[in-house]
Amino acid sequence: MKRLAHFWLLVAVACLFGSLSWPIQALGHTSSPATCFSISRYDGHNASKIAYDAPLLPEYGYDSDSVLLANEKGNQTTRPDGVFAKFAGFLAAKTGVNANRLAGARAVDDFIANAEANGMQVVGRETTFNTPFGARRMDVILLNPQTGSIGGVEVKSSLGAFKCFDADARQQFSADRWINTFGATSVGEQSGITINNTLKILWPAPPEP
Amino acid sequence: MKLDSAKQLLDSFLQNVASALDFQRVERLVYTRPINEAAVLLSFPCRLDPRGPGCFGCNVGLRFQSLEPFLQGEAKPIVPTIMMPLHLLRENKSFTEWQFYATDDLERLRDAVVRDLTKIALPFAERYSNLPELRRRLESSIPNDWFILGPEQRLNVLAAVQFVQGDKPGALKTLDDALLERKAALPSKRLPIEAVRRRLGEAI
Repeated sequence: MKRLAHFWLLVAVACLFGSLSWPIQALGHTSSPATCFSISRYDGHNASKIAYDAPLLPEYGYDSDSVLLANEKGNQTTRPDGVFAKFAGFLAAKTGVNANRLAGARAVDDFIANAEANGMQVVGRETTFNTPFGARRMDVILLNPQTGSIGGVEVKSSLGAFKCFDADARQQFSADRWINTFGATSVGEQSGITINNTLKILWPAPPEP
Repeated sequence: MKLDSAKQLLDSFLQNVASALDFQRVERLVYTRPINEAAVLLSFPCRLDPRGPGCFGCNVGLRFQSLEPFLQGEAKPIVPTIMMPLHLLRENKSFTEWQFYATDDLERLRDAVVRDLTKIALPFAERYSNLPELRRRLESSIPNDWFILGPEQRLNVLAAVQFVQGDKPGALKTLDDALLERKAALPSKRLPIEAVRRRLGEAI
């Protein structure tokens, strides 16, 4: 009888810790500020509803990829708040990537504003050119209306990205050398833009408004 | 929203807008209809901004089938001979894009898109869809008149127009002079001209 009482006590303790396992797991992730943000933000709301509200995503620092993926995983559980605790590490990582992309977008916007203020015209943005080294997508295509020359600009918003020389950067470098030597014509929906020069610039992103 | 789904959403919206203006869909986000001596191409480059919205603009292109064999050989029919982004046809010429998150946003943009197409894009296409007017503009010495053609592309198109209009010696001279000027230039400035020169030479 005493053994049976011990058994039930153990079961009760296990259940108690079982029910607390989610908050403990969540607290375990709060070492990262981004993770802490995501948990505290989504705990107070209906997560699945907010996650699909696309206009709000940037406000929370998420891109659509991360949230959609979290929701796909979340379909396996009935606790939407738990989804974000469970995948908090993943979301934090994605949020970091997204922060870079947001900074990059702000840098390109700022660069375009400056180029136009200095008499250049923007022909296109995120325009793709085919080269023997693979497709090359330039951030901005600029036209100098005084000379008629058109060139592609790759905007790097941080020194790290500017100096990076990993596989992707080497592909960009090779494609740029090809375009600078032989020229290239854009493909896809922006077909018909021919450039024969490219440049990569460091243009730090302005602070968030 | 992912880029592909944004493009699909936009395409179904634009297909409706374009068909009301008698355009036919060539491929996703590219629509065409014949106009005078050319075919007008409306293409809508779409990108996904990291801040959330899908962004799109419009390029107005004219494809002169009579010039294409000399200029781009066997290029796809969606490649225009000349092209202008819609924002560069506006008064202030600053780069602008329409933004959307969902179908509702696109419906709200419908009037603005149709207005720009009818008031800006189509008059431009109508005006330059015949060879004499195209030639007159390309013969200008002001680079701003060359649509968004670079100096070499402008000479190529001009020579092709001269050739098709019967001025064959003039067309070859235009290109020969250009090659002489670029004798020591990089291949990117010579090769496109040499290619057109070769095609014109073969067609004589």
